[in-house]
Amino acid sequence: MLLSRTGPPSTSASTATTYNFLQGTRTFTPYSSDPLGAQATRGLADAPKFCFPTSTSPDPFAHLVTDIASSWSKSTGPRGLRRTQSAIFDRTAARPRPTPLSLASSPPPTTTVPPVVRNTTTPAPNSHRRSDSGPFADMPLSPLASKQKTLVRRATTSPLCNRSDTERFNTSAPGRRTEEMPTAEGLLVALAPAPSGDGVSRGIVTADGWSYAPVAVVGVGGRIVGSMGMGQMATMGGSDSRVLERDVETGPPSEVELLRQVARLESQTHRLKKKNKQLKKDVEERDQVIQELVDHINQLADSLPELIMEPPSLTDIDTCKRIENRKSLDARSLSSTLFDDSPYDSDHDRSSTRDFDSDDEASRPYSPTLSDATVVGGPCHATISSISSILLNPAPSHKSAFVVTRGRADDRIALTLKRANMDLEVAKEVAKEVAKEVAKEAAKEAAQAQQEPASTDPDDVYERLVSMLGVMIREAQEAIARRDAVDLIGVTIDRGEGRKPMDTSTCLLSIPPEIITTIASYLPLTSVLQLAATNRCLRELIFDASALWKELCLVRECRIYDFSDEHVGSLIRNFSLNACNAVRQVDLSNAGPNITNQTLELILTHFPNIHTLRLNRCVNLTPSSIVELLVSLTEPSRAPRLHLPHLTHLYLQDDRRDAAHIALGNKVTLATIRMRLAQLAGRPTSPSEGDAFEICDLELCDCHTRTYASCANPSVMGATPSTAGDAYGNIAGLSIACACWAIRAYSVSAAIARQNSVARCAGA
Amino acid sequence: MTTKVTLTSSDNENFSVNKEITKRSILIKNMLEDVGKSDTPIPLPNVNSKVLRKVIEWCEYHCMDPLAPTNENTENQKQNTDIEDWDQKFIEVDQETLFKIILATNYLNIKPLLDIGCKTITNMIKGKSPEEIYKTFNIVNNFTPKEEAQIRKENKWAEDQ
Repeated sequence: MLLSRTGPPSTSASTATTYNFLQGTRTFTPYSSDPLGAQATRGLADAPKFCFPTSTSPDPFAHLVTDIASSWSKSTGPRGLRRTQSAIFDRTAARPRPTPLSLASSPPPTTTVPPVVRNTTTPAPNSHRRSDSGPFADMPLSPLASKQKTLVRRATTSPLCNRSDTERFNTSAPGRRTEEMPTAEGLLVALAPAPSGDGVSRGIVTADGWSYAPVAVVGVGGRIVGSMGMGQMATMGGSDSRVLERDVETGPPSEVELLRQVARLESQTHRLKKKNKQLKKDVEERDQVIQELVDHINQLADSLPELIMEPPSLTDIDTCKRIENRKSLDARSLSSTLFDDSPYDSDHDRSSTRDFDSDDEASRPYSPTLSDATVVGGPCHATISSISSILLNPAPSHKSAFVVTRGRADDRIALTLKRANMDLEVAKEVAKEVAKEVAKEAAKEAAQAQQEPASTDPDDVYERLVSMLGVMIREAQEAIARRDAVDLIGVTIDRGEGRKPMDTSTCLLSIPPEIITTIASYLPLTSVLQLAATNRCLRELIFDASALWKELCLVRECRIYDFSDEHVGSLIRNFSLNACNAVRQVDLSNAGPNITNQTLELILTHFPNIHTLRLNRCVNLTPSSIVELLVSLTEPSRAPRLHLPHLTHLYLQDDRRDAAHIALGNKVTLATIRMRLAQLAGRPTSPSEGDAFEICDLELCDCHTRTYASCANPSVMGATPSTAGDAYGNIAGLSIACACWAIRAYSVSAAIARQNSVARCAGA
Repeated sequence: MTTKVTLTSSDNENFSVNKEITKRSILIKNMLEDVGKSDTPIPLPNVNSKVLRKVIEWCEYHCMDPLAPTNENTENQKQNTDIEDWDQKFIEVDQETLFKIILATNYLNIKPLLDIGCKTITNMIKGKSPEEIYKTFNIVNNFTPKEEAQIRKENKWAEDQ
């Protein structure tokens, strides 16, 4: 067997290393570039054996070899080696295999061949495959040997062994030797395989009893890091069997595989580092949350003395000191101290109805309870800090911790209230009420705790403690507020305000709704809205009065000229269904430029019985935009379908428009408006019928090229623009002229002239 | 010869009034038409003597006025909240009496007097903020603060006027 160090391969004979073999000193070439070459043709006699390097060996790795050998000797000893040999013998005996040569020509060898002969002579090919050929064939197998035997058996089915090694062993001459392979890790345990291989060569037994297995790469420190071929099993020892098994099963790792392995390890390390970092972060966050909770509770505790306006008494200070002294106790004992049942628990009624004498209270032996934190300002900090310490070092079970002593707490509450100048009887009643409610809550919590397993998670414990504190603080606050309310009422009654009590039979709300509606009908819209803002009943009445909203004339009533969609929307949305159904006429004339299709849609969809809609001088409500809206409202896919059976009058513009707006109202637009309104009203929409729909002020001129306001005389407008102002003082001349108008004007003037001349003649 | 009709108030006080005057009330007029010639006093259980006296006073003053048209134009109603001087002085009473007069005229169906009462109240409401209104009429503001804020927001445009 050859033990060599890593290093550049060399074929030079001068680099040969001399080792002191067990059976003598041999010289061999440590590395051959051709492992299947001439060296492989040597006989078994030339096969290297496990050896210890000589003391004079210049090899710096010689001591490692010594270490390995010595460790093996200590762990297994020669007996282990023998067992290994016997295991291999057993395996080969149990399963004799023919060599390729024998398969072809000679019959399979039998067990009758004396093993001694084979061992003493140069083994012929295939001679080592017989188990009974070993010198320790009759030895019983130890567990280790059994394991090694198993490993060898696995090796026979390994892909490694079906590889070139097997072929080499089978085909090469005896004495062939596998050379050591340099690795990056360290030593390579190599061996010279059996002189002739066969299918059994996975476990090779040399003539002198050495058994060989695939070569294992031994790293520095004796760690097996891989395998490169066949090696001596005996050198591996017990713990190395695992490595052998791995090596046999996976085959020799290539450099790429090794690098991959290193990369995998690195990634695993990185992952672990990351996980560790995350865990640290979580722990920090949790600590922070707990600290915040502690601060919050401390703040609550700080606010308690202000709430109940009571400085901590001597008793409380004493208690505080006592609890502070107990801080040195461990968390579990502190938990039991805080939450153990009080002797007053069993006598709740008695304690709650006891006389609240402070001296008696002071002389009573004190056992701290959780309730103290809520009713007495003094020991709050101590109690809470104790709780904090419990939470930071949670006891195994806090189930009993939530069975809080209530009777004691009731006494403390009553005492506190008494100190806050509350009447004794009132304080007792308050304490009783608080006690009952708290007892209910405690029972509920106990029931829940029975149903659910108690959690010892510090966060859970903290949440529950905080919630309990919150409940009790609220109780105290409510009790004090109740007392204050009683005082306040008394003061109010005493002071009085000199107001005469209201006679509800003669107030505005007492008169019949129809009279209120009548009153509101005299009011302008703004005052109606103000009246509706005074009382809920009035508001409902006003926005439900059908008589009040029959005609909705915004500008005329409000004198506002800059209405917006929002204003109209907020008004209309207050209407009840009754009021919406009552609306017959909506006048948005002069409502300003901010009224858009949004308002128009709101009106058409909210007032189903509307019959007149005036949009005079709403400059943003042009005929084309109205057409768009009407088209969208009459779409067949719209649900529910809009039905306006009474809408017969749509006032788009009047005669005070300028020329540009009139120009928008072309024939197609008007026809579309007519058709869509007829559709909304459920009338036939044929052109002839649609034309019959009345649009009050837009008409076509005689030659059907221009629209004009119907209420104005086109001939007059064409000749001399109107200068007459309206009720609001607006003057807008319509200066659209058409050829037909001129003709008409001429004919009219001619007719007038003719009439005048006729009259003149008649007069003469 | 003028015919007298006796009216009995809720507190059993009898008022002897000319029949023509009592015809200002649609209720009494219909009752007289239904009863025919009879000296039986007409009970008015919803009107006390004080209010009835005031109503009779108004009717006596306006006995010569033409009867109000039944279908009055709403727009004219809204625009005209003016009250004649005599009526204004007549109606200058405390709020309790004013409401009682309104209730009585509503019961007796004397529309002109009812209008005067309503106009009076209208004039009391006009131009006032909600706070002033419920201070004037002892109305309790029963809106929640949230509702009140919402209404205030909606009526912002109206309040600015």
